[in-house]
Amino acid sequence: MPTEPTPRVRRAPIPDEAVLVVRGDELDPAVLSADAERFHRRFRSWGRYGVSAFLANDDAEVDALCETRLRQWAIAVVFERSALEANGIDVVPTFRTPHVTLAHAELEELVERLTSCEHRVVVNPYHEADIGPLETP
Amino acid sequence: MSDTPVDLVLDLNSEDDTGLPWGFVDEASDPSRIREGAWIVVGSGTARAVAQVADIEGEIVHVRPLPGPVSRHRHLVGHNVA
Repeated sequence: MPTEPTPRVRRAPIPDEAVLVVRGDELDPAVLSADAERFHRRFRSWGRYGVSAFLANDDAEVDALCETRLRQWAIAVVFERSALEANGIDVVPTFRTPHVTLAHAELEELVERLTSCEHRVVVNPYHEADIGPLETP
Repeated sequence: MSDTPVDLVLDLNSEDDTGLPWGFVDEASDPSRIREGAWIVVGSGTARAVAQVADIEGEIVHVRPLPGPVSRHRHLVGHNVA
């Protein structure tokens, strides 16, 4: 099975002002676990499990993410970056800004630390609910 | 969890160097439907989107999701515009 050694980590460190970390969806342990396992399968040599999230400087940037990258979710979770790090989760700047990978060496630890980390839930005002199979353009 | 079944399970939060969400072909409900240009339903958890398969590199599939609910774009699903 072809795998890539590691995800691309940006050279620039996370700016001090990027104090928030946002991820679409509720913190469902089963979903987090599946997403982290998929990440690990692809980047096995990195030796860590990870889930995707996005940096934000403030609530205005959270709102902008809700309107763009997170539009498919009715809710998003917002962490303080410092709270994640205090909970033993690495916040790694991967791929394109503002994407980050929330990482830990152990799958169960990652899921437990994410679900137990202090966070708030925001309702996405830009999300459009699926009304069923009959809507036409 | 959403009740809408998906053709390919992937995390819509995810991206890689392409900037696109990605998944594994073998996580598709029917891998034979995963072709470049095909319109499919993707997602995990509570999120669903109609997306076009952008490319397939080995086992990795990249998709371009459309904003908005699946119901708005469902007429595209099953079509292939490579």
